[in-house]
Amino acid sequence: MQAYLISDGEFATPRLAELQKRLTEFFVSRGFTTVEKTIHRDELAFCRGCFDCWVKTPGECIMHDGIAEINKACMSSDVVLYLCPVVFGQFSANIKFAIDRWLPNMLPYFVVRNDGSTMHSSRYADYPAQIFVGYGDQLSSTEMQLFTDVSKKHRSNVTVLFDKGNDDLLCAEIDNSPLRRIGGLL
Amino acid sequence: MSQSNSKIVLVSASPKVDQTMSVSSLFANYAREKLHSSELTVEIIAVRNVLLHHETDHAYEALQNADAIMFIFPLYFFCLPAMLTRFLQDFVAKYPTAQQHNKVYAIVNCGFPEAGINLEAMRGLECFSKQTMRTFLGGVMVGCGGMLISAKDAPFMRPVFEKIDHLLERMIRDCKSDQPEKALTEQVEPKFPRNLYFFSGNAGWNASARKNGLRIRDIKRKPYHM
Repeated sequence: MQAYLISDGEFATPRLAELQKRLTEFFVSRGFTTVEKTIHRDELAFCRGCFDCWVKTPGECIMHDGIAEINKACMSSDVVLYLCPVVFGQFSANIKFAIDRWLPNMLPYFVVRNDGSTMHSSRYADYPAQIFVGYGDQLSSTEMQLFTDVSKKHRSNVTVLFDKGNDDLLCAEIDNSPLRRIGGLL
Repeated sequence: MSQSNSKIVLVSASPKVDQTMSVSSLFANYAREKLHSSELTVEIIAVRNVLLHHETDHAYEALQNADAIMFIFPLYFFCLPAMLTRFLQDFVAKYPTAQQHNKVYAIVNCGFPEAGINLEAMRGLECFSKQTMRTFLGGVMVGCGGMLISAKDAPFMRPVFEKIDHLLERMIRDCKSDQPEKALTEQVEPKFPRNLYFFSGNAGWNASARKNGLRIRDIKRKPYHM
């Protein structure tokens, strides 16, 4: 089993280092091998919405800046955990660069989910569990609710947690989340 | 009464290379034309160009000096596209708060038919506004973005432009008044059958793939299959 930990190098605080260490220990204790990835400023280009990853090189972004390695690692993992600075109640820029470029991992076609909402269909039979751990200085309840809604409201197979300075609590919450690949609609 | 030459900045934030195929660019140009008739100074900031050509200094100064800002952008993964997040994150690092009373509006479009899914992006801009001491006054959430360029003149597209017209008219009134009207976020979709939108969208992907020399089944390749 593999856990892939993605973090934002632009917000490399001492607390982030603590979290990386603690979460790595947690996943190892649960029998996972861990792979860490820190995304630095200007390391990735922004998705330019060309959709070539759907109609030219299906499943792969045409920009060769390291996103292929990230997407490959994501798709080879059982769990992908994002240590995500919360900015305006949303993902920080570096994390969002990676999230936007997750696009090759799905298909262009529209599907209608049971609740009537539209989504793109899955490219793969199953996907890693995705856990977003938001952190920031004195996040307001509005920011936390928005971060939760942005991550969970429109997608399946996603867990959203927040760092409240208590490592044991955070690890317990992660332990209660699905830590395995899951099939079905995105 | 506010001064009649209020400065409005339209932030056009589509990451697309070909901006002629960008809905945000279409809306930004449309808004500039509509606003031009009144006594306002209107400037478009194209975020993609600004970032790629390292011209953020001028853009950030324009935002900081604006009386009103309208963000116009596509929804990416249910929130702001990374490009716009980068632009705003750096803007706030340089100018943490507004230096004057500053109004914020937005037009957000998405490729899915449901315009309501743009709401979290709107709320993100509300967070940005609150953090930087600006006043968020809402905007328009648009669905079916995939057909907005090709069918912009079609009769079924009229409701979209009517909503945008209402927003622009409100923006003008706000700029001329000491007290802006109440914030309002509306949603609109072209009057077009959803199934037909899906059908034409899906057919379009297949046609694009064929144009690139692929077979339909190639679209479903799994390069990272475990």
